[in-house]
Amino acid sequence: MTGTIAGTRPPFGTHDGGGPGPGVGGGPGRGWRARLRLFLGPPETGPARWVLAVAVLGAVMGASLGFRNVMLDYSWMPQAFVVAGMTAFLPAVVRRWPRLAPLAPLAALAGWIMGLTLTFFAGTAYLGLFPSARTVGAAVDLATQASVSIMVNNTPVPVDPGLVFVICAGVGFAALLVDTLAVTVAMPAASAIGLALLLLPASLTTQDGVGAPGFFGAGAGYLLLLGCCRWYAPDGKLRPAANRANSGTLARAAMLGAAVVLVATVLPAAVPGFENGAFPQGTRLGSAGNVAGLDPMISLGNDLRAQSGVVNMTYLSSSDMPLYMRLSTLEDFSGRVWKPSPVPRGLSSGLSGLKPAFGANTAVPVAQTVTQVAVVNLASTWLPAPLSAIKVADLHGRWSWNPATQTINADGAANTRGQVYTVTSAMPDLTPGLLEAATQKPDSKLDPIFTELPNNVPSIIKDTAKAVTKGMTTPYDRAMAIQDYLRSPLFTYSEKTPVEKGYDGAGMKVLAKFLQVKAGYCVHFSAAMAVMAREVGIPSRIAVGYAPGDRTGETALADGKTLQGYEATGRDAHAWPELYFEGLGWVPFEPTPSRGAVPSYAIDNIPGAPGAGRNDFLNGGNTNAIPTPAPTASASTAVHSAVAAPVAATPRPERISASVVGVLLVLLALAAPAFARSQLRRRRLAQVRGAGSGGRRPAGGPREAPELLAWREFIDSAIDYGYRYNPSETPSLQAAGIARLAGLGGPEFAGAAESPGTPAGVPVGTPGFAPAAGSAPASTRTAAKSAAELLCDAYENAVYGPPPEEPAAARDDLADAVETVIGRLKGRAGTWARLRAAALPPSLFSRNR
Amino acid sequence: MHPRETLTAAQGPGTEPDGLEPNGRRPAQPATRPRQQPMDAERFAGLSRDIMAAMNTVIDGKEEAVDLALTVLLARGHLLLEDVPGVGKTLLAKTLARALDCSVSRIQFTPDLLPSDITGVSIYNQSAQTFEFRPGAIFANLVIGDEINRASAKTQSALLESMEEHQVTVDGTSYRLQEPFMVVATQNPIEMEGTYPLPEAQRDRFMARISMGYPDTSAELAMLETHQSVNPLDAVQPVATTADVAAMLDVVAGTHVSAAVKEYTVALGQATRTSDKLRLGASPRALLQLLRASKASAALAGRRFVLPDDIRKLAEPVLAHRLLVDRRAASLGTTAADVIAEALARLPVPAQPDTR
Repeated sequence: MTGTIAGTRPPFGTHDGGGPGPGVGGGPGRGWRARLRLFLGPPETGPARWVLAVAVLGAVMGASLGFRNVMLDYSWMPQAFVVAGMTAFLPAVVRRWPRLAPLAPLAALAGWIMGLTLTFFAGTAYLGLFPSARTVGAAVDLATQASVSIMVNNTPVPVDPGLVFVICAGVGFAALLVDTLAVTVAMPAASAIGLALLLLPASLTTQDGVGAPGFFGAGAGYLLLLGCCRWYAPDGKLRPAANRANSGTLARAAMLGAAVVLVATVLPAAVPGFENGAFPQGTRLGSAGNVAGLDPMISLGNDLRAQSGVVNMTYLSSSDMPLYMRLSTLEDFSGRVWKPSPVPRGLSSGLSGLKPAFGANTAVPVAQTVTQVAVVNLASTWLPAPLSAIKVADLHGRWSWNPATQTINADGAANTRGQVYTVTSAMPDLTPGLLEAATQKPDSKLDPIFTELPNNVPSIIKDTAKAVTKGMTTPYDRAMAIQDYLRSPLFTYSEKTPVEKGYDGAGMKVLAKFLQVKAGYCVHFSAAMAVMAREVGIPSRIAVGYAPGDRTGETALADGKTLQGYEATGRDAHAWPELYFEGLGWVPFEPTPSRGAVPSYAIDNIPGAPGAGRNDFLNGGNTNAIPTPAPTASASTAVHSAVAAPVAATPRPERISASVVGVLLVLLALAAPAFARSQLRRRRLAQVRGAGSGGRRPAGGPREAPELLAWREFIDSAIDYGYRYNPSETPSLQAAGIARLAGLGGPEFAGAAESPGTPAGVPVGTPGFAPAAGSAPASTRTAAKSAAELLCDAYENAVYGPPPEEPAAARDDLADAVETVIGRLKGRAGTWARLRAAALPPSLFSRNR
Repeated sequence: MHPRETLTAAQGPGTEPDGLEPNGRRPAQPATRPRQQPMDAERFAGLSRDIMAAMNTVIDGKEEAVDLALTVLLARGHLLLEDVPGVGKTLLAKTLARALDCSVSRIQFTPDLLPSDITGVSIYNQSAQTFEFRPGAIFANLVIGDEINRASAKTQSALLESMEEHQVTVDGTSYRLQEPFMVVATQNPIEMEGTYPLPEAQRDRFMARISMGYPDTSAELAMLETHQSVNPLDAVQPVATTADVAAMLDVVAGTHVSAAVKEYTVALGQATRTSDKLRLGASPRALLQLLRASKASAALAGRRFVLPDDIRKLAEPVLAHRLLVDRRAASLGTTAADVIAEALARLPVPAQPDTR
């Protein structure tokens, strides 16, 4: 109607006579915008919020490097970056307006959801960002998929969309938590909770723990976050420009950090329990690039203890006998950790016409065997193959044959994962007669590594070997004597006892301990036999691989032969000794009771142990069902308490994974607010009381004066118990309101509580003179009221009064006053309010001061 | 030019122009008051308590008005009383003057009042053969201007200039006014024939405006009782000298104002300027006066520093008469006081301690 344009203001005194018309046309538009602008207040300037967002993102991504040992590769990282980035940057956008800053956690939540949607379910969402009902369904599907792959996989886990989704969700959630704790709640130190959440899965489920990248990434990220929060947002208030940190802080931080790293690296080496055990995982800075882990023996033990039912590979074999699938061999017994001999250089990479360096005579009859192997879930640079392979076909990548150890290992980046190949092997058809006849001295050209023993072989091993083989003349008899001794009822198969008693792994000391305790698993049995064999002059090595797994009932035909199907699972991981007989080559034995299958040539009647070794042919993996004899059990409990501290927590890392980690995470997340709040209160009151400042001025300057801290705690506590904080009320009005909430509404505050604008005749209280001095604390009521007044006066003096002459002194009276008021508030609150104040304190989420 | 240096001290009884009440008290102190010992807080509190008690014996049930009058006096401001006749505006001013033991003059503004009636006039003294300055009614500690809106604009501005400058210029010579100096003007809010309402610029020179309002029932009954036979004003004994007042002014000037309070004041001023319900917001001078009044109020409350509560308390009396409400908002019944209350309810109270 009239020419009033929205947004323009009619000049003074204009009489357009439009009546209500222009009001309808121009008023609302202008009013809406102005009101919004007024509501939002002046926008933040300066880079603070962006710096903080980058710091949060950096810290979270640094900590997420700890997933290195959980996942096979880093291909999930870009997606995690997107999710964490959106989670960290949306709050930064919202923080442009200080009024909206308390909503930053909501923005982070929105960023998290949108980031996940964009990364994983863009197709199902509106605009690729806003989740629809289908998105929720897809997310549930992926999560289910993830939980399945967590249940069935050993770490490191192959990259699988479900797991990537879960990891990205976790990383994003950590970003949310870190952002909320560090910026919104202004407790950057507590944000370590979020980073620790990211490190937990790796340290709980993997052998190598967090690893160096994760450890340093999380540490560096945390320091970055602490620094940025201190420089840009001290006390939760964004600053336009960085606060110049004095150099002393940096130096102190660097020294402290160096000390921590030093202790973390030196301590595990110094404490005996860390030597062989795998605890605590987090302290092991696993060397980068070592696919097989630190110690093959320990890995094997972990695999066994894990009782993982995951099928690592399946194979079809034409052999009548179940086959041992060898991966590698250990022959160098000299070090603390037994190792494979170094792979010689210049091996040809062809895999046909393979011959062992010292094989059987041509006179020995040979059985051609065809084995079709399909590796399902095993990432190794050693190729599983039966002994005496002569040809391997259909392999991807470059592999080379090591004739000395009869192993096939990868050249470069090749890996067994997903390989399907056929191994043809020529197995010598050995009989006890043939072996008995092999009495010649071992060939002098045999690598001495197979015969050498270190100087430190404990006497118990020598003595036992001598005693067991007494009167035996041929190498075969001696070998059988040793095997029978180890399989006799004296020995018990146990995967846990070595861990509990601290002799897990390999090494001469371990072996001596094993021969004393007489309980262990394949690693110990095979190592004992190998060492004792060398003691009595038989060259030996330990083969590491898989015992024959379960029959699948699957059959196939190849070259006119029927192939039987087997599957080998994680718990079929095995080690066994191979002994060298001149003219016959390397002959496997099976000293481990109740495991694997004893070769036909090595079966003997053991007096006193009827059937102990016989019925274990293909007995499946259910080894734990075998009862542990009483002496071992009691011994184990007796020693247990002594050795428990460093190693007891180790067994079954993988089992802990899904449910326990989940419950832990949920509990941690639930407890985080309560913990953060109580820490905040404790810290503030301690500062008010002057503890920790050590007599010098608090670092924060006047902002950290005890009066201010006490007041903040007073307000926050009141907010926790339902006080509606109104920033446009003056301190005295707030104190009056809180006093009313605490049931102390009295005439003393009437003057202060008057509505604004009334020309009050009564002076506002009588601050400046301590009111607490006059009022006798006859009841808690008066005590609490004067407490509120005391706090208010002290605060007003500190904030509005002239700057104090002397540095802030400790104020015990204020801390006591805060505690009095909190007690009073708690006493008046209902059960629900009290619960909320403890578990989900609203003050944590409404801090905008 | 004639030397007139004796004049400021020479005024006194017998020199009042028309419209002035006889003032039987001793002459006011010279403008340059002697330096004295700084007053301590206890003495200040005792004096202010005594002054208010003395005034409250005369003015029944108007503690706020009494408090505000004293606040304005100590803040070196001027008070505008806007109310219907007969509610005690003049009595308030007189009581204050009596309690303080200082000179008071009263000007009844009429359309034919001349500027020289206020400021004074130079008269040729035949015997001395010189021009002699006869001070006008403005030469008193407390000047009561009754119905200020009945005088012509020219006369009004003569008063207002002296209010602002604390001096009078006649024939090119400036004369300092006495300290303390305070104008209590009354204005009849009812539109009448022949009135010249104060323009905004002039209203801006008054530190605060209050309306006395009618006393409540009990206070009115008490008033009828006490004022029936005797004049209670006569019973008022001076409790403070002008020297005391000057010392009190020093205390007020020394009151600390923190950065937070200044921020709060500025934010309040800006809120009135950006409000779409107002045509004219608070001027910088208004904010300065608000801060000065707050300092006085803080000192009266026994504090050495200003609280945001002081600002809140004084925002309406100090600011409301300077604001012009938008016509549309006014038609909906919005007043300047409403706008101020709204702004106060919205503005966060700054709480940053001063950094040193």
